[in-house]
Amino acid sequence: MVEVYYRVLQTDGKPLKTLRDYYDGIVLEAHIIEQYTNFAVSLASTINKPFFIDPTVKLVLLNLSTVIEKEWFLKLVEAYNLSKCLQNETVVIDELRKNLDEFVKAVIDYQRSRIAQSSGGLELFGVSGTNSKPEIILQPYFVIDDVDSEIYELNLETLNKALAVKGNDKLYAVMAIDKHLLRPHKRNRLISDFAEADGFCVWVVDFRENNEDGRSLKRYVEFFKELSETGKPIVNMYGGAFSIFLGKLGLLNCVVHGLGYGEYRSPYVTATGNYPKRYYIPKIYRMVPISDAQELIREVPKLECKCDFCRRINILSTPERNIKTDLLKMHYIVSRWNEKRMKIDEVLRNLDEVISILDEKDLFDIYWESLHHLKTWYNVLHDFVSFH
Amino acid sequence: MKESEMYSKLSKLFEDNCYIFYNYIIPDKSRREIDMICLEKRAYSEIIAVEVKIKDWKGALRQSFKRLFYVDKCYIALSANYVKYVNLDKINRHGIGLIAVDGHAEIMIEPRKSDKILSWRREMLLNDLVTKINRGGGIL
Repeated sequence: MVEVYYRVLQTDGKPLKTLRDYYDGIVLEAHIIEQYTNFAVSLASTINKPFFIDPTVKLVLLNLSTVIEKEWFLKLVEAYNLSKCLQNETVVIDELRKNLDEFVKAVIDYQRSRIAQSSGGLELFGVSGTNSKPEIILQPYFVIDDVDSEIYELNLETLNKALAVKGNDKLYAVMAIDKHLLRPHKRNRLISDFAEADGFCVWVVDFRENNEDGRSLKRYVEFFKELSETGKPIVNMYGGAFSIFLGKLGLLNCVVHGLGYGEYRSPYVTATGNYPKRYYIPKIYRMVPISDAQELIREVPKLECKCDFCRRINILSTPERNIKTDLLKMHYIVSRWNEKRMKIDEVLRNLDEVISILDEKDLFDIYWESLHHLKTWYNVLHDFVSFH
Repeated sequence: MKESEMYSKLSKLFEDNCYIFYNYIIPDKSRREIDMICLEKRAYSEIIAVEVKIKDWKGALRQSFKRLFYVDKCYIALSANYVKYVNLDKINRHGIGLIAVDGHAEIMIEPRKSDKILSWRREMLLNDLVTKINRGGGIL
């Protein structure tokens, strides 16, 4: 069964601790560990669930001008032995290549030992059964723009060097790729070049399952289908309900995302500001602005969720400012868990039924932004299931 | 004709009976803006929204539909040249009114009272409008 992992933020502690039976594991980003060490270590220890570390998510572009002044940056540069490769806020590829063995080993060692290193003494606070070893290790990776590029070669080199020092650990290749690499001739090359790893982590940059057209979504499915034919486990680093459904079809083993956000990610955009309050409507499998959610549920009562958290949220009668963010997050966790347990036939039936009701009410045109994915998803999934 | 030129003609339809506010920002987190909102002077008994467009009736319909969760009635106002393109079945189905504007504004279809209102949203608008009126806002 497909597993659900959460990529955590420092504000996610309460929901993740409260609902520890409603997800399979977590992903800790290295910069979060460095910035909020106590939070990260305490969370990994108290939930006592599998985790792994995403080591280079904030360094993937090589140009580091947007992060160079962050408090965590120096700590990571030191931990990864990167300082000699930095010039003018950029990682110089030639310098990195000269120091690649050292860099790769440092990134691997960091993942192996970082949580354990800081978790000593937690027993004093009543935390026992400390789980400090990551489930898998990721190769150091950078965003790949094309299969003939220098960055592509660099990623293959870091993969090979990481494989050489992996020991008994499970070493996963990371394919952080631009969307155009999902095209058949490009993806074939990718799959064959990364085949030596123990598994794959995939990040299709800025791929929004909710907004892609049918053609693009079909390519995405085909990519995972072909990758799954290697027989090795696959983690989608940023996915939503659609990825969960691909898991049901046997094309994915694990889907990672943030709590109520982070179902896609672009390394070129830095998110700022408060957590945007949005409500996850389970029947349409997506987050929508609270005001739209209230209206859609008012129009189609069948869209209402009856989970314990939604009873407390009371979405139809509560202004957005009075809705507690933690309740929204907990509702999201429970909804995702329910999706994970549904059968694909059930998903298709639900999609079909919801599409009919929304069509009947003439709501697709009015809430196009929030609803248009439904028909695309249904068609792509239905075609795949019928054909295979 | 520009959208802004339509406002004064539209006002004439409502100014006898209503306080009128233009480009009214709904005081919640939705950041939605109602082109024209009218509050009946008599006992503040009815709130009416008007969404104004030159020709984009579909855009106006989308906006108007969402206003029906806040107000008692809603109209779409279009330049008279483009009224013929409107799908009247859709407008009727949702109970939205239609106003054609050229030399003057004329109601083509009367709206029905909204059956979608979320009462707390309406109350929020009403309180805000009354506060504004008490401070001297709204065109009399």
